[in-house]
Amino acid sequence: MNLLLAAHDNVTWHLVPLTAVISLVYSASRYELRDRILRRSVTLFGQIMVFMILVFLILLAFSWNT
Amino acid sequence: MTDPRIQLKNPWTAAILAFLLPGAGHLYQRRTFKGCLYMVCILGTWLYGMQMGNWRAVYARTLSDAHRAGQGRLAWGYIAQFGVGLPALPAYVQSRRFHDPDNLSPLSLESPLENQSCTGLWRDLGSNALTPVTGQITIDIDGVGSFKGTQDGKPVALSLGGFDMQNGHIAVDPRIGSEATRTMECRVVDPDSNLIMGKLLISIPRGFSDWFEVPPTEHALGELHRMGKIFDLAQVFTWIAGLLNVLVIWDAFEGPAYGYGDESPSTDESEESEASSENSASKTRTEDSAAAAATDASSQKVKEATG
Repeated sequence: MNLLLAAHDNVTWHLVPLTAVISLVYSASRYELRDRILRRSVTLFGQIMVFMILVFLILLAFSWNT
Repeated sequence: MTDPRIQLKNPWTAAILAFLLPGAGHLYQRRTFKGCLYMVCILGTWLYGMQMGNWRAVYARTLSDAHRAGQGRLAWGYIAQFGVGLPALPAYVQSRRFHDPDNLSPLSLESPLENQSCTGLWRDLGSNALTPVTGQITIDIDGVGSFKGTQDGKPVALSLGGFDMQNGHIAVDPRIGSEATRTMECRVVDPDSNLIMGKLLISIPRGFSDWFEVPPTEHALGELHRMGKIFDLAQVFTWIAGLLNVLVIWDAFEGPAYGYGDESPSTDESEESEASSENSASKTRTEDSAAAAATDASSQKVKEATG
């Protein structure tokens, strides 16, 4: 329960819908076909999330035991 | 060049519509899927940010406004928020209204209040006790009137003898301010002798058009930042909504940046794939010739051994 509350309070979770919106709008501004837009936005969302998770892990490693 | 299958109609009209309301330009061009997607995503992001920041994340303060009000802090973020169009435009008007000298230093109320519901604090000068009160206030523009309500569950009636003064101004918040409520401080007087008995600090609701997207004072901004990261994030959401709409406006004006979406792979990509296939073919040829040479050498050794 405490973990859930901590997750709820953590502002980082707000970045997930924000990333989804950015991926969708950016991809939609590149192409016209619906399928192409959706496929590209899913890929872009994945790439951004992976990048952010990597940065998060690197920062976590640097801040370990500090 | 825009794909001929995309009918941009009048690009200028579409771009203006896209600026005023995200997605509206695409709906005008009958690009329904993209119009709905843009509208939901951008307005959703903007509303999410506004809600997260207690509907006070968007405000403007121009250079002249800041100079006139003696406040050095400009609202740079509004440049990004401005991109979202109509939802953010009231902030500019509200900034002008808020920084009007008549608003910042009111000399009286704009109109009398009649049975206005309010909450407040009543300070009795005799006991110096500060107690919360709830009730209704009726005052004229100079703060003379009465308050009827309850104090600790008991009925209370107070006579008001005008607004309190602070630094030469009446102690009344400006009519236009960033908070949804407005406070004012009245002198409580004895109805018979008119002697001051204490003070009543009351809070009355502001009209929506008097607080929505109004720039906060330095004090109010400090209060907002007590929300912590949430207020910063709320502003980031509204910035991003505005910046994303710039892409949408361009898409409405010029069409999608890369093409329709069903084109064959680009020339660069095909050249790259051809180059890689040539490399693999030459690599195979080299491997084959090396293998043949090795076979010749081994058969020569066998002949020497047997011979």
